[in-house]
Amino acid sequence: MKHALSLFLLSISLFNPTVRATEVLDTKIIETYVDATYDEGDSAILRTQFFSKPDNQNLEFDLISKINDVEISVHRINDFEIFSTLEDLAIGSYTWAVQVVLQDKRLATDLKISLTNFANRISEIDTELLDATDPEEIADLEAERAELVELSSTVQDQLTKIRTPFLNPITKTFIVE
Amino acid sequence: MIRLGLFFFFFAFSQYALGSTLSSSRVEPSSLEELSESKLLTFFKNKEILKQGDELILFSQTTFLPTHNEFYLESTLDGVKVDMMQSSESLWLSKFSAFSEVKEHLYSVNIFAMNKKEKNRTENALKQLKKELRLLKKALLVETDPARIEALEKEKAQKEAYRDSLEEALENLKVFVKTESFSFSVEQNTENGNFPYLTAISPGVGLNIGGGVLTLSGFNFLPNSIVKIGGVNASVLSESASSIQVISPTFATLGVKEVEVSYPVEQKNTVLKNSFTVTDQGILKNLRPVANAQTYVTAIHPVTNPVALDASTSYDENNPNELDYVWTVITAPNNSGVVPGSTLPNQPNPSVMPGKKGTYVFELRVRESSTSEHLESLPINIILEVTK
Repeated sequence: MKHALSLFLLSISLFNPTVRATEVLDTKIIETYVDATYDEGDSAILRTQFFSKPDNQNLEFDLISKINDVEISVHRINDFEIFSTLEDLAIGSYTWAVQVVLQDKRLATDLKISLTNFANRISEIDTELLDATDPEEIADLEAERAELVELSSTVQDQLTKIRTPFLNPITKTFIVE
Repeated sequence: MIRLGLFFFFFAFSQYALGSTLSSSRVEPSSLEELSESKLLTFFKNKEILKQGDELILFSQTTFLPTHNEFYLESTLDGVKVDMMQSSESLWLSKFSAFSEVKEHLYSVNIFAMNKKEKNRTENALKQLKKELRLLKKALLVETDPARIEALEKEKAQKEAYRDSLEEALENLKVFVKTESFSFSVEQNTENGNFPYLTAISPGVGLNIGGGVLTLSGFNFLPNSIVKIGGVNASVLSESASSIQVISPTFATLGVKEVEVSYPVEQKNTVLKNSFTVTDQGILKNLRPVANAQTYVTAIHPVTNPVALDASTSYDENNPNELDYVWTVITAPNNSGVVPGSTLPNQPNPSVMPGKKGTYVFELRVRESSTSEHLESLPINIILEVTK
């Protein structure tokens, strides 16, 4: 019943721009999970669970996840489960901030795949540069690398553009001792 | 090394040949017809507004193709072939380093369908082959034994021939579906000093038989300006960085024209749209300017800040932006600090400081400042009501 209500409110908010995201805050859309304390050197799993998804099948929720204001990568299992991992934790206090965003599913996937492909090719070029001795080949590889870095930045900007912040950011803190 | 290379060569070839035999599935004509009737691409660019000097990345996203086929795209910009990079299965990019000219561009994409498996197999074989050719090239650079060099050269020639045949096979896999286009305009960059910027032409009206001297004003004009008014070349009399004088050409048509100053060598231009009106000799006459203002203004007493009057929409069709504003106070409350019969500054938005409640009436006439006739508009009254 609770999920049905949240889906109902969510669908209203998606198709009626006058309904603000904060109006559906009371209904539970996501939950974040992280332990309160970790030991130095531990790994932390930062898990986010969605309880609903947009009615419009062309849209999806995604997350921008930050630790102490630095964005970290997220891994999407399906429409309801997203996680990040932090390895070899150092002593200190950490703030995990999660921003839910709404985005065009297909376009976001294409842009993210593009970013991965660019990163893979950059990594390949770095390996090729280690073996390369011909100055012409080195120059070509470096030019290609620079172009891919620039394209990655543009594609990342495009990804940011198509994302609409949905709920207020959720923050949790944890300590590593 | 050579043996390993040969192994990959024959492995790649056998895989490719086997695949070609097993999979003869091409794009079905019926599905082609359906595809050609659908909208297949969504275009978007990395900048909403594109100005001279900006870099542009154009994205083309293909629609979902629920078959064993996938799309292959080739693009042209204004009819010239441009590179496209496939960044994911359905996303393609074209990058343009900078546009210098203010103009409309047409980006056209030729859409082909290809059998996905055959394409992937051919591309993988090509990738492997190109890698092996790079290794062979390196080996040839350091090899000194003539017999080995001969063997390597032979292997290289074989692989190059095979590479060419694979590239041809890849080309043959493409089945043309349709062309979709996207147009975008490059706008004037007024902030970057690298680009010429035309701001005005005076007078703004001329005869279709031509002959008058026109003055173009602006910034960053270069030597050897080419001036076109409504697409017709105008002879340049003199030019400096901020001004160009031309002789008005003969026009075949009447109406409002755009003015363009261009520099083909530098591939730069500047365009002022709807800035010059061509009229015929019979109807050309200097028209009276028109006074136009917000005619009823209110303020609350006590007034703490000056109240601005607004006549900025006044105009003169013959001489845009060349008006004098004659403001006269007609009536005002006694001891209000605003004196009947006095004038306000010659500007479209003068301010007054009404010191008392009541009604203030101002008269406005606008007058041509640059013509010899100094034609004046009919007067209009502006009422300022100061209430409690």
